Amino acid sequence: MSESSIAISARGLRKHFGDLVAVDGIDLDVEQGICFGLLGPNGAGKTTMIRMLQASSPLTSGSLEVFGMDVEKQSREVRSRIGVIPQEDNLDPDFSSMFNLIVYARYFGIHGTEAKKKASDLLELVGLTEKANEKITNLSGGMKRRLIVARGLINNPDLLILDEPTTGLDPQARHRVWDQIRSYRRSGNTILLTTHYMDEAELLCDDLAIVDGGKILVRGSPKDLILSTVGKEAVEFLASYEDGGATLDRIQILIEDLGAKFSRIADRIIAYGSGIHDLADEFETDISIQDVIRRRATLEDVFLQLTGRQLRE
Amino acid sequence: MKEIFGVSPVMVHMVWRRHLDVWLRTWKTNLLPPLVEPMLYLLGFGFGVGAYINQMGGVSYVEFIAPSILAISMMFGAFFEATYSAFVRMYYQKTWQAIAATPASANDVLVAELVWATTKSVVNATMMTAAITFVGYLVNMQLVSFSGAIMMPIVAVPIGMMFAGMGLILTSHTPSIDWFNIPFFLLINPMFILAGTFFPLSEFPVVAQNIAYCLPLTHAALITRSLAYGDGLNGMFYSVAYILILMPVVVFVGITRCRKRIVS
Repeated sequence: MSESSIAISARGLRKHFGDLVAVDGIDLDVEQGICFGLLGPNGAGKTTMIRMLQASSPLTSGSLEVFGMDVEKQSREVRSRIGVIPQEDNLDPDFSSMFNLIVYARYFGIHGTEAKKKASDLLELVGLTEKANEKITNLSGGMKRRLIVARGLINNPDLLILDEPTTGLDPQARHRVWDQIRSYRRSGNTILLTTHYMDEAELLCDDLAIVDGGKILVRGSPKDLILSTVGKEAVEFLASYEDGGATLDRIQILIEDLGAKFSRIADRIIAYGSGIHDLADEFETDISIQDVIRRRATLEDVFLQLTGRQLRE
Repeated sequence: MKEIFGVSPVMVHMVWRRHLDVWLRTWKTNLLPPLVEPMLYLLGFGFGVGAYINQMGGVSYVEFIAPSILAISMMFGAFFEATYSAFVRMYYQKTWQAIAATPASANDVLVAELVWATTKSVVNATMMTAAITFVGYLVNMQLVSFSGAIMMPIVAVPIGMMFAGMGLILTSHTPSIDWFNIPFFLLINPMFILAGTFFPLSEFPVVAQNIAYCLPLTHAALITRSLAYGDGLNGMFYSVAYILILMPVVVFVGITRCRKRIVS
């Protein structure tokens, strides 16, 4: 792989906040032209890494480059080529949708009629043309998110960074944002996406890393990760009654005897591999099991296997 | 991109314009408080209380407090912007964070805050000079000398920048927006009364005079008084020096400490 085809390159990347280690020696290369996912529970170090990329958080040690440029020494150049779509709504509430984009364009040296044209093109792209003159306070959550996406595209970034872009959105709004991400990816740009929606990552990412405790646990395409970590199939045993827990304990012992992988969360056990089918049949009619669900293994299963079986708050 | 001490003048200008654009969109409501409140002091105290006072500091009471009100409006213009308004932009609207994702840097954003706060100070000084001159015209008094009227917006630059820097230091420290009440009640309000603004410092006991001479507003008020009386900056050496020394110190500390808060 030649140096020029790498969008993001981290070597021994570390970030400490006092005693807390947010990023613990990460080595990472992200190719240009792909959608790369950074997945992990809350506090895994995802947002810290994004802040480091835009030089809002100084590196404790190691190196971090974007398109071969050092993020700290050439921070302005780096930021002029990236677009950041943050988790939170930080639009200007005093401005209209259109003027939010025009003001933001100025920071990238885009002015006058060029800025206006760019802004109205982007409003059309995200389907907000009719809301061009609407104040931000009158927009719905989904509209605001789309406007933030449009704002992140104002400088035609070569690298688009999205930090949990669909958190809190209704299904329709999520699909619209996904559409925009995919179409941007199709035009040959690089995308870095953080999320803890595994379906989102599975759908959008060509390549991804699951991080926890500031370290990369696994790296690969969603398909490969699913196959290598949990296999193709999964069965969920869902406990129903008060004594369901005891039945789950029994199932767990049987699974352990089979040597199959499993995750136990709250009221259910999810077991993986084709050897589980007989067990599924056996407990299908058990009164203390509310349901037995046979399904395709997903990235969520990989995530649960690797990050201690539950999402942390 | 051209930089001076790591700050890009072009970016500072762009961030400053954003603040100006917000202000211009809401100028009708923004213009009232800085104009109406000091005018009430001028009319209420100057003419109301002034009717019972023959002279203060060698002039009529309204002539005495007119320049004080100019200094106070310069202080409020910058201080309010660098505390409450800056905190809203940093904490509630996340404006700083949004801009930090563009080629503008944290230093650019903070310098733009100071320049904008100073701008508010200059705008206040200009408007109040015009308003006080107009009131003086109505009652047939010259409350601000001609040279003083020209100089007011100019001295508002270092005075405003000094109060802006002080405000930014508080903004770097404040845990919540309500916390600003503490410096407002313990620092700004006492200064408002005790900085030789509503009665001359010579009326104070010596200890209180010495304390007053430590306060930034005292020196701002001494300067606006000298200008309003048509004496220019004659005899203002210590006050000018006070401001020109304190200003860069608080600006540096304010930027450094605020930077620590947003770049971590």
